[in-house]
Amino acid sequence: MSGSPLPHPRPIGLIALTAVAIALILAALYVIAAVAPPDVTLGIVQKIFYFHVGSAFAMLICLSAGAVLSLIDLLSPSDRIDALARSLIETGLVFALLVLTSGPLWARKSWGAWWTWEPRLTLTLLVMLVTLGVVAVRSLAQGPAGRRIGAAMATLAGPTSYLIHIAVQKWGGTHPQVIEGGGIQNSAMRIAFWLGVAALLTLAATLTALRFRGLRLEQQLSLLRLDIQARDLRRARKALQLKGEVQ
Amino acid sequence: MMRVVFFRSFFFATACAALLAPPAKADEAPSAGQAKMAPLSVPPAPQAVASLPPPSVDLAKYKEESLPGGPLLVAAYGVMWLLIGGSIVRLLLRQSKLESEIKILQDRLDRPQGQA
Repeated sequence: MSGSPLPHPRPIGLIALTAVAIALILAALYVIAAVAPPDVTLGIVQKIFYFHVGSAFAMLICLSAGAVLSLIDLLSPSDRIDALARSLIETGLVFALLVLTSGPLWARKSWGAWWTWEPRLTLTLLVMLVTLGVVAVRSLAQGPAGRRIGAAMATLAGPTSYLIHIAVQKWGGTHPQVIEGGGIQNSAMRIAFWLGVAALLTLAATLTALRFRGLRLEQQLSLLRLDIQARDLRRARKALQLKGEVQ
Repeated sequence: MMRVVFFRSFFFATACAALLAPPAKADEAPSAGQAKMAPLSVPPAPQAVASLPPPSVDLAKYKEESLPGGPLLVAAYGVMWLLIGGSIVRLLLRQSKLESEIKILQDRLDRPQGQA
């Protein structure tokens, strides 16, 4: 460890990913604002949909992958897998917050209410609170116990994400079902939608990669501190041996 | 350390309260979910309009709600980019702090014995 350089001093992959994300976001914003027409029922508010659904996709993918990796880390601990699982869970939390803020703004116009206790909304709130709990545990209890408790809590996000996905089909609710039913009837709307999804998924990958790099740096810092402590102890021991105080 | 723990706990408690308050306050019944999206320029088919059942209440008595869509759209996109931008700035600041800390420790570790 000692003498090793910083991990990825110039993260070329991360920079390239960020550039792709920025390009896709700009393209999606242009198509949403200038090309896609407003909806006949909701008018201009329908344009929230393009980024709301993409955020929900990113949230479900990040949380499901984070849950699987947390389970793997519980069964066979690895710093790398732990860092990746934690990055995915934290990115999932950011997107859960986006879903839960953009959703009510859409719902106020579409349903006439900011919030309803329908299955999909309630489960999304629940998964967000679980994820918030994971992040709180990991930042307040920094040690092996905190890591294991956080990973165990994070595995709960996997099945809950699946329940969010099937909630409308299983238990009904007021959520629009325009994607599975082929309800987006205009090609410009479809392009805006898929471009928005692609932009947000790339953004989620960028945020995860950025957080992963930060966590790996934290792990390297901890190892360096241990190295320095060990070296200082060796030096102190050597000094004492020279003085003849230690055998 | 206690101060950091206090501020973090305060932040989490405030975030939970802010997110739970709107749902707890909600009491309006929702309407049915939307199943189709079509451009505003496409008028509804005449037979679809004709087949609609007559309203069961006198609609003239009710004042139509005119909720402007623009502010809702701006709020949604504004919150979204603030959250994403805030996350990116926070991550980059943390990384640059970690990198400088690692550099200092690395220099200290590479220093030959005898130098303080």
